Amino acid sequence: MWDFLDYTFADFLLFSPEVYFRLFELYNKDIWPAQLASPVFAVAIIFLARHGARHQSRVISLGFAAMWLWVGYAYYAVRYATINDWAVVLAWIAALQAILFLVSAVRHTPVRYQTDRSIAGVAGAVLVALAAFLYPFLTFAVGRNWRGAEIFGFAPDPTMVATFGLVLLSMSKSRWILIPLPLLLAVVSGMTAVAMEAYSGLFTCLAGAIAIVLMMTRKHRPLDIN
Amino acid sequence: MFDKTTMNRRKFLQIAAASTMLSSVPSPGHTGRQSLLTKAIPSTGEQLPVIGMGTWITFNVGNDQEARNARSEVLRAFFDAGGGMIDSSPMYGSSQAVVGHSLDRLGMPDDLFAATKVWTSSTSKGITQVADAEQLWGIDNFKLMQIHNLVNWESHLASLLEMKAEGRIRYIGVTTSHGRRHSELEKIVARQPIDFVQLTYNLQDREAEKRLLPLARERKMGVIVNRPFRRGSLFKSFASHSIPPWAQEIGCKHWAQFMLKFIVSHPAVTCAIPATSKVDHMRQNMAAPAGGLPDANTRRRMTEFFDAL
Repeated sequence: MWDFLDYTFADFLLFSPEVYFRLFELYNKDIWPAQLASPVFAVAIIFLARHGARHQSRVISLGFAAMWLWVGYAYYAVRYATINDWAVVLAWIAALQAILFLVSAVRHTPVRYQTDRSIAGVAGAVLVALAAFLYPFLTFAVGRNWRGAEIFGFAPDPTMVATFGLVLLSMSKSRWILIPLPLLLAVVSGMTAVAMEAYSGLFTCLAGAIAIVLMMTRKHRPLDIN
Repeated sequence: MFDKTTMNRRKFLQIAAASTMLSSVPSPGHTGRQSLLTKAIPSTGEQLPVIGMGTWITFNVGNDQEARNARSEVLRAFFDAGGGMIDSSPMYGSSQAVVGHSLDRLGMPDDLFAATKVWTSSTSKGITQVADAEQLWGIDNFKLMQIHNLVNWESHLASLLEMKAEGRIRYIGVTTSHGRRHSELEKIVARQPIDFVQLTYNLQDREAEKRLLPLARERKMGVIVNRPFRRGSLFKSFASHSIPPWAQEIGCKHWAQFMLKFIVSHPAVTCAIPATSKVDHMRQNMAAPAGGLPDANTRRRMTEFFDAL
């Protein structure tokens, strides 16, 4: 079985950038007009997180659980897996992330999110906004067809960026469980982007790195007992 | 073992001349289509066009119907130009399914030389992969079944030898790419009863010239060359240069032809398998043998030209 160690990551990139990006065009065509809900999600997240309240935080976590489940199934398993056998693994990782958000929502002391004026808080809100409002434009800023725009809540990368932003809004201790899997997916996505020489894809990795650094600077505050 | 000191320039010229004469014989079964230069498969003498078609990356388009139909047109251009060998692998995502889709649309040519691979560390899954590939391609039998990148090669070889004895496949091969695991490949070529070896050989990656190509020739094994353009990167090396007049004299109109002529003119090489997703590139590739193949002196000029870039 160690024969597989003989391969490099680039060897597993068995599709062209053209085919990869066309996946998003066909995906967007299939789910239209669901994409219109994406900016609404982002605004709702910021709105619900303004007080750091328990029930609103549950709603946010449930929303992210649904988005990750959708991304895992509709994108990774149904579409990406048609050109990449390893996408099934990514689908399971996304499903696991959905479960973690679900647990964060239903546990007695849910992970709480709150916008504030700290650097981490502002960066978190900005990342959520960038995921919803900037990421789709990134697509055609780098010369790709606008029909292949990657939409927050439906495509993996902007959903990762928004997750990084959301976790920055939290001061709950258990927020840390929400970060490893999106980071892992971001690294895979970044490596894919590099292998395709589509460097705009590194934006997700950059967002992940920013989130980790700022999370470490943000001290735990026991909102859980409120 | 092959004595590399016997491969002097004179010997090389003799072999190259004999090889070119042999390859000038039009292959049978191309009625109504253009004929392409062929070479004999050493173990049987069966003729094989010197340009085949790889499917790595290019045919992995998933369920995209528009892209699938576009690949069918690439395959049509391949067959129209006298192509016969298609090479794929279960490692290449949806490539085998897309080949099957294209063959279903275009019809199955009589002289199709279907080649694929087993790629798994499990022996039983290897047997399943052969059956899966037959179903995906829509064919009853493969001409050539290869062991991809030497993965679990000893066990797969035993299975494939049984299939060959049963008449389910005609040829057995082993593959590597990117110049990896050449020493292990050399041991297999030296000792095992296989018909083909597939490896990377191009103007930049010429390590196989030293031992593997002469050994394959000595052992009467066909050689299939993958990555003839180094996944397109060699075109960048030529980008700011024009084709020299001495290369134009042997029919090089495009750099693809320059590179392919170099590869298939090696006496040990049976065919090269460039991959493309574009019809015009396929036509350029298939026109590579036109105008003749370079002799040893021209091959040397080709390497010198490339090395000086």
